[in-house]
Order: sequence, then C-alpha cells, then structure tokens
Amino acid sequence: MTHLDLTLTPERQTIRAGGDTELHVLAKIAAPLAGPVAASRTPLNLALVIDRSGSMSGQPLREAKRCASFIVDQLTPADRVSIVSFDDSCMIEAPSQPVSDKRALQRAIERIESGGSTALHGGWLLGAEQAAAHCTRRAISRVLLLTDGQANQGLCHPQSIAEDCAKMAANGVSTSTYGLGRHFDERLLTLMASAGEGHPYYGESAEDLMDPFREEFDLLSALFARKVRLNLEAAPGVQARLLNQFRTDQDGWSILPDVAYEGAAWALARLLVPAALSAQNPQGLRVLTAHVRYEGMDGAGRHCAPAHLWLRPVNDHAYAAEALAPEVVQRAQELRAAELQDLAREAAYRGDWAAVDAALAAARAEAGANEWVAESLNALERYAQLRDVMRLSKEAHYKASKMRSRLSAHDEAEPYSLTAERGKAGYLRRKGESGKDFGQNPEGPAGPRR
Amino acid sequence: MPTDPNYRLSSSHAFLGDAVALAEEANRAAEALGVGDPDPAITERQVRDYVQRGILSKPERRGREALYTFHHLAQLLAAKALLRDGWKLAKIADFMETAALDDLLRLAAPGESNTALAAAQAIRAERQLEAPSPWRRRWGGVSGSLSKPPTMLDVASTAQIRLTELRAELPTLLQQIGGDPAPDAVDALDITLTPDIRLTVSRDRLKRLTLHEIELIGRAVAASLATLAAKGD
Repeated sequence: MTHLDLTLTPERQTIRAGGDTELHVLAKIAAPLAGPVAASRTPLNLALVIDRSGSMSGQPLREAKRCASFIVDQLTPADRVSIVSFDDSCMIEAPSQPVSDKRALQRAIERIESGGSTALHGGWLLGAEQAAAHCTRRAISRVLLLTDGQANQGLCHPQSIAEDCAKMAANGVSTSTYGLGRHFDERLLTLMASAGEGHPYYGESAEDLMDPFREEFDLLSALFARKVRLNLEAAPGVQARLLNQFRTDQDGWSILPDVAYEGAAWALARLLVPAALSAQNPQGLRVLTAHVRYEGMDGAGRHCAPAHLWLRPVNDHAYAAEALAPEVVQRAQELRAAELQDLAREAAYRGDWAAVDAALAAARAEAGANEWVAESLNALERYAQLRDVMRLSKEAHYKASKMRSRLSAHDEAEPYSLTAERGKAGYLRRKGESGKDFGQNPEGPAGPRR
Repeated sequence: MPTDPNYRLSSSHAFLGDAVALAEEANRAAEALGVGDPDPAITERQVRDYVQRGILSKPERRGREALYTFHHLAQLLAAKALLRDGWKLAKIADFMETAALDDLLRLAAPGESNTALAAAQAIRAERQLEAPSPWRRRWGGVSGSLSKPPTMLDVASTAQIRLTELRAELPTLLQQIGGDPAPDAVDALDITLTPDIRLTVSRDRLKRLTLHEIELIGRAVAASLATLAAKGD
C-alpha cells in the first residue's frame, strides 16, 4: 500500500426499521505497515525552543538541555536545527543550520543559563522564524517548545498565541509543546499544539521528559502523511456529529493528526438516522460518505477514494441481537472518558472534590472492559485522593487530549498489556500515565488494580 | 513578473487531465506566474514530445487514457523556466530525473515556495514585536565553524539550478525590500568589500535595517549578480 486507506466501521451493520437509530461510526485513515528504512526518512527542519526562566534553574534546565542534546544527536546532516532560548528576552543560541557539527550545537545548548521571567510567545516566534526561513515541502518543519511556566511576558492570551501557531501550521511550520512539572499552563500548551498541528507532551518530573522527546522523534521519523483533512457528508435527513473536538480548516474539513507508518488517524461520529428514512428505504440506505485529503511526504496533495456507509433496516429483535463492533465501542468509551476527565479537572479547580470523585467513578463505570481507560483512571484516582489539583488537572487534561487525537495501532484488538505496548513504536503506545516515563509508570498495566 | 498576483499554482494541486488539458493549464499558469517566455505557447504535441525526451514523467494510464497530474504541470512549468535560461532539452531531462516536487515549484512559482517566513513576519508585525537581532550576542563568540563552506563538488552540481532560482526570485525580492528608484541624492556609506566589489548604502536606511531585511538584501544582491552574469553570457 502506498497511500492512506480510508474505511468506515459502524457500531452495527443495521438500523432499526421501526424507530430512530443512534449509532457510532468510526472513520479510520490508516498508513501502511512497513516503515521506511532509516536512511530515507523525510529531512527534519527543527527549532528547539527552551525556557530558561528562573524557575527552570537546576535540575529542570539540566534535563531540558539533555533532551535537546538527545534530539541533536538523533539528527543527520540532511536535517536542520536551530536552538532558541527565552526568559524575558529571547535569544538565538544557534541559528538554523544543517546538523553537520553536533558538538558545536551541543556546546551552544550547554551554554544556556537560567534567567528571569517567561516571554513564551516571543521565544516560540523566534523559533518559528528560524524554521520558517528553511521551510520546504520536502522537510518536516516543527518548533519544539519546552517550558515549566506560564507566559507572563509579551503576548500571554492563550487563544491569541494559539491563533499564531495555527497560522504557522497553515504555512508549513508546526508546533509541539513540552510542559515540565506542575506549574505550567496545560491549557495554553495543549491549545498551542492542537492549533499548531503538532503534539502536546508533558513530563511530571525532569526525569520524565526524555520519553516524550523520544516519542516525537520516532513519530517524525516515521511520518507517512500530513495535513490530513476529513469531511463527513451525511445523507439528507441523517444527522452526523464528530465527537473528537478536532479543529476545522477554512473549508470546514476536520484537521486530523499527521499519520505515521503502522498507525491510523481516526474520528468517531455519532449518527442519528430517523425512522422515516428507514421506512422509505427497506432495502438499505447510504447514510454517510467520508472524504479525506492529505499531503504525502513529497509535498504532493492526494485524496483517498471516498468511503460510503450503507446500513440495512431490520426489526428491533434482529437489531438488538447484532453484536457491536469492539473497536468502535472502545473508541466511544475513550471519548466518553475524555469528557468525564474534563469534568473532573474543572471540578478540581473549583475545589469541588465530591464532583471530582463522582466524575471519576462515572468514568470507571462507563469504561466497561476498556483496560487502558481503567488503567488511566488509577493515576487520576490517586491524585484525587491526595487532593492534588495540579497533578490531577495536568494528567486529566493530557490524557483526555490523547484519547481524542491519538494515532491507533493496527493491532489494538489484542488485550491491553505492558508487554504489548512496549513492543509498539513510541507514538502508538497507550501510556497508563501521560506525564510519566513509560518504563517508570508505578502502576503500569501489570500493576495493582483498584 | 507575475501578471496575476492572486494566482496560486498550489490551487491546481488536484489537477488531473489529458495532454490537451495539461497544455492549457500550463499556459494559463505560465502566463499568470510569468514563467518563461509567453511565446510559443505549450501544445499537446510538445507535451507528448517531452514525455519521449524524459522531461515529463510517463503519464498515468487508466484504460486507454493517459492522465497527467500536478507533478507533470510543475515539471512542464519548470522546464519552461529552464529553457528561458538557455538550458538544453537533454540537460533539462537529466535534471528532471532527480528533481523533487519542491525543486520544480521553486522554479515555477518561487513566490509560493516559502510562505512560512512571510507568515512569521506578519505575526511579528501584528504583535508589534521587535525584529530579532540578539543572536550575535551568543553565536558570534563560538569557536569552530558551524556553517562550513560548500565543497567544490556541491557548487558544481547545484550552481546552475541556483542561478535559475535566483533570477526567478529577483522581482519578488526587489519588491520585498522596497525596490523603488532611489532618490537623486542620498547620504550614503560606501563599503569596500574587496578591491573590485563595493557596496553603497544610504546611511538613513542602514540605521533602520532589520535582520530579515539584511538577509533579503543579501539574496537580492545575489539575484542581481546572477541576472547580470546571465546577460553577459
């Protein structure tokens, strides 16, 4: 397969003949299984933007430098990188250049020293400019922004900063964000990454930071398609609503994550098919058509062949007897868990711990047999017991974001286990706790259950 | 010069058509973008001839139909730009063997190849942020050379394509640095780079130059030299 494969999977193959039918439909956009050989990966054009504000002094800055050094170490002379740092002023530590002298770049990273407050937007823009100056269709241009704080200098309004990230993404420079510790603004950083068409990551401690950097590097090295856009066209009379909360482009198409080898981007829609339509079409009807366009790594625009979903009306007895498609049920559980985690996070900020506990209990009840959701709730319940607002809100926010926009692996029908997840590419792993190093997760899938 | 500043080649990215449609689309794009000489127009016969010569990749076959894509359109426009610069057909065919879409677009529609920098500058202007300049404070003091000069082999293999790219960029670059005719008398600074290369800059302009403008001027100087050198060939 040399192209993305678009499929539509309904919860059931049938609809009720004698009444309205509500059902979930999974749109899946899958990349081929076989990855490229390392030598032929798409060149990277990165800007590493590092917060050197006062709060980063000591271990956090040391670890940030180690992660930046790690990224430089993985690059080849075909790639470009620039190093930018910011406190209340922004500084180009190394201008964008081919990665031919790693030692000099690493020396530039080493020289970064902690300073004052946090001009986050200015630092990001300086990095974006460095990447933009060498942005081509043949390279992946991305800003990797690492911070432990809140924007408190220059432009600070999250929506405005996110708008700028979206503008740069539309012009070829995407943004990923790395939050460190407990005091960064998780809403700002996830907004920036979502608008910037990159990924939001966080490390609860400095030691947890390397894992997400590795994950992103694996993803960038294995990318198959970018600028993936989905449009769902419901048949007249059918209502369709996407549940993932994707942003839309100027044409109203949903902006899906970039797709890497072995992975699939996906979207879950809730459909309402009225009884009248079933009655008019006893032999079956086409309820939904999906269109996908994307850009290959050579920069050429491509379209998937449209996917159509036909459903057949049956009586209520036959309808109830049909088994549900497990993959669709699983995604619906994850999106519902994401909603409840958002509720828990908001309640924690209000100090309403009874509401937090209720939301988490509802999430556990609705998780059903979804082992990953159950596993994810362990950490949140632990933070809720400790009444730790910062840790609960960060973990809930990042996990919800992951549940809404992660790439799925081809073999997720297998039972969830630490061993199976370890065997996957970093960007396909379902971590029990988003902010922890995968290897350090204290209650990994094999750990104690509540 | 582009005759239609609103035209974007990238808007044809989903193009799919036969040789006649490709020739029509290429003529329309070439005119709007100001690529190559307007006459003679590209014909269906020329499209087929270019396929034979290896300048255009083989078309996709759907039954008995031969279909051309956006990639062919970019190849055709790039070939037109290179022809204007005096490339021989056989040399263009050699170039096409290894050219990626990005190379083709830089030749066919240089203004479209990097909109990212323009977007970043628009953000800087909109947010009223000062132009970046502090890198010299850090980077200037580094020992060891990070931007190694290209080897002679690199220069030989890429010189011709760079010259063509630079010439194509000149109108846009001049526009970006305010390339209006200079006033009659200016208080100017004369900088002697080498005994046979001198640079004259208005003192007033020198004070107001941003880092980005300095980079643009550097490229505009290179583009002007490339154009003058071509005229002297």
